[in-house]
Amino acid sequence: MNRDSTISNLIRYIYHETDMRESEAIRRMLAMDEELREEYHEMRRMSKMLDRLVYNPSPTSVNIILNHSRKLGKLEAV
Amino acid sequence: MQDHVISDKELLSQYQSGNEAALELLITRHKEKIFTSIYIFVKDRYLAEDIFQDTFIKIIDTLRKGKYKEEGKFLPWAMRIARNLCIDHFRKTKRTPTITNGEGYDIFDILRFDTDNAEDTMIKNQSHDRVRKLVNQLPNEQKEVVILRHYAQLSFKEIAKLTDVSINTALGRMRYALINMRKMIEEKQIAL
Repeated sequence: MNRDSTISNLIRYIYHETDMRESEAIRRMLAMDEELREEYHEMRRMSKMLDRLVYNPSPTSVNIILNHSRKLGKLEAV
Repeated sequence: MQDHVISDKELLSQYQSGNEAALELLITRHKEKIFTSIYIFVKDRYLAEDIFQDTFIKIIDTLRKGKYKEEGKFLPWAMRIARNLCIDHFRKTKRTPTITNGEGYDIFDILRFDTDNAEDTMIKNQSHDRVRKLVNQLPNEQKEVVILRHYAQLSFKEIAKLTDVSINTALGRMRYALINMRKMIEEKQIAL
């Protein structure tokens, strides 16, 4: 397996898109390859940081949407 | 909690049968991911609110007209609508999202941003805004993969299909997005 392919599989592993066999192969490589291990930890850290980034729309926006739906519902009922 | 056991598919079906509460539950379940994606993409909270509303209004209209074909999961479908509305906005205003390579990035710009909007300051912490700023510094194609993978929860295969690139290109873009973010943090010594 070449380096690019290994890195692609590593990204898929970080995002839980590898099957059991692939995951096992990656874990073996991580145990043997310090450089790969370092890249894995850094990318995982960034990935976790992105997961923490969450914003909420305002309650006003949600109400506008719900009112639009209710209005359509009333029109359809007429 | 019923919210955890009713699938999106079931909620959509209930809504199409006239249950308004099902829509509210769908919005509650997915609003953070959809809104975060839009906000990162357009970089403006008020514009993001407008596009968020338009996204759900389009969803509602499609559902009520019986045009939803259940071709996939709800969230990726909703995200596709949101993404298209963002792209439409940039087309209409004849501007594209800023493409940067991280050069000229100013930490003081990040710090200032936190005080620009009182609402932001009240409801979000500084760390969130710094991360969002980092994402905004990424080249568009990398930013898009980040949004679609983290917030739309599309697989890399789905992202590749949606953005019309190979799966290896999508994976490569994610890799460089993560690497670039780490570099920016190191270079600017950003505390997150």
